[in-house]
Amino acid sequence: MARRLGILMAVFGMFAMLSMLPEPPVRWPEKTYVLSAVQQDSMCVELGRALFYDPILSRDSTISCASCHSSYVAFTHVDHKVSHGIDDRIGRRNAPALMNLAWSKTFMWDGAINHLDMQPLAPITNALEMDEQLPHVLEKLQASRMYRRLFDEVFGDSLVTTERMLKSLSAFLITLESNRSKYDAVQRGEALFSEQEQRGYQLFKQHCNACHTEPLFTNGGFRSNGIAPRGDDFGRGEITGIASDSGLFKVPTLRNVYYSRPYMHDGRMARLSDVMLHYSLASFETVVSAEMKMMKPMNEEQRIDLTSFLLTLSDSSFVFEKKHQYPFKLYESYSVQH
Amino acid sequence: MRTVFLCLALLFSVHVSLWAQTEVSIQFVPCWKDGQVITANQIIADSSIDSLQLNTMRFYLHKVELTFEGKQVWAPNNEHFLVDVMDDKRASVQLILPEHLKYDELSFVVGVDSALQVNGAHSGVLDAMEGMYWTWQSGYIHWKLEAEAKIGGNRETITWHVGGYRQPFNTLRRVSLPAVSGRTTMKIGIDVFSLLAAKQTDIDYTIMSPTKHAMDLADQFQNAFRWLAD
Repeated sequence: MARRLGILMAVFGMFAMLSMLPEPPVRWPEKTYVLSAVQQDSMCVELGRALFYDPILSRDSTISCASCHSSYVAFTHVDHKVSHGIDDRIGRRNAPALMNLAWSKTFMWDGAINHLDMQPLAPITNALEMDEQLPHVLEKLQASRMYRRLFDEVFGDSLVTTERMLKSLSAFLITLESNRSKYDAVQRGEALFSEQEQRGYQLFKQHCNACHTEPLFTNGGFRSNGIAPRGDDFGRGEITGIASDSGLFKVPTLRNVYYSRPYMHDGRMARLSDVMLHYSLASFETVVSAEMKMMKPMNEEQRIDLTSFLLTLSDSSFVFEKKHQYPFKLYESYSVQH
Repeated sequence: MRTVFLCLALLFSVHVSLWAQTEVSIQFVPCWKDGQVITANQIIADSSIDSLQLNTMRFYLHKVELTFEGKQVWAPNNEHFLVDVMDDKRASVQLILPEHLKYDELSFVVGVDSALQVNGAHSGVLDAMEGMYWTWQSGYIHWKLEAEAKIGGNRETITWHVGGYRQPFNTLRRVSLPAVSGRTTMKIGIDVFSLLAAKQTDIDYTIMSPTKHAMDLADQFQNAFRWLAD
């Protein structure tokens, strides 16, 4: 009898110990963007960086990609509900944060773009953003001594082509990887959440993870965010032409969400607390997805816990990474005078 | 020694005849009723239309195939061609065929292969510089027609940019035409009148995105190809 009791206690003890072990780390999926050999060359990345920060891509050389995607706010446009482009023209959507793009299958809030290479063509030619024509962009780059030198160094000759320009931009954008937050350290077993963060993590998994799925904190899908539409923006429906897609927008990543305010596709929520309140009420103004219908209201304490967890997704080493910033030295060494 | 030489010569001639090739040029031209070729800057006017001036007609084609009695006899690769019927230098497609190939049907797909639409930037005729790529959303324009017209007393600007590679608005279409083998030049007309006539009951002169209208127009374009006399 005593022996049986001993065995039972040992088994019980083993299960108890297992339940105390940390949860296994969340695995990152395979990247969807495959870099070519040229794109892996650091000079190609530098060329892409030079293009990203250069207003030469716009009609009057006033607007660069970085104008609306600032590195220090996770490559979004801080304090602007929607971006303003050339001639102070106002766009209609909030500039999305840029990170971990190698895992993205679609781009833009409505998923209009199906490949990272093709993404820059949209803002370059959009009349509200850069308002430029592709042939003229190539002409300007070809006329630039700096870019002739850079293209020669990367591709073996100085010819500027659409494909080379776009793939160079992709090479730089792919380097914008954010995976060094406290959350990531916990996943790697290098840190522990505080009790509040751990409570927030449990709430996150219960309420948010279905759409903002770990470890990218987006499932890449399109959902209604539950806020009433303003104006004539029908989101995903404008691209697919399918009625049920109307009002759906891409699920944004929550990585670096602390930096990437304002929030929602039209930037209508200025603070993270506004977003917390919106979702915690679990009372939405539009038809929402099955996942959101399952959401239960959260009280203030729970909102604070959840916010505490979301702050663990801040990756300051990403946001302040020098290699992502304005390439002063490159412009200097390759002649600022284009 | 002499026998060996003769055998080698025979083998060589058999090899040469097996691999002998011939170039076939297919020219595409816009046409009106009864195959009347529309030339650049020409203004069409007849009982069916007050006036029509065609400014642009360009299209991609790929997956060219030749068949004989229903069986494929030639399908070289998935090369894409960009045809511009208003530009003599780009109005023809050259095919290199095995000499004496027998076929009775020519077919090709109008548009850009769906697989190439989703794998990034391309060069050559698929360079976005060609003006056949939508920038506001990803996807090639399979074909475009732009014209100024006066119809029923009203001035109309026709802008048809037809594209779409995903369901439910996949506007890729395979065109099939009976063919006679042995010719080195062929001329295929694209009947603009049939496109306009088909649209008369539901006129939408501006189509620039993948929609139901684009699907209807793609169906009409598929049936607008016909042989013309050289």
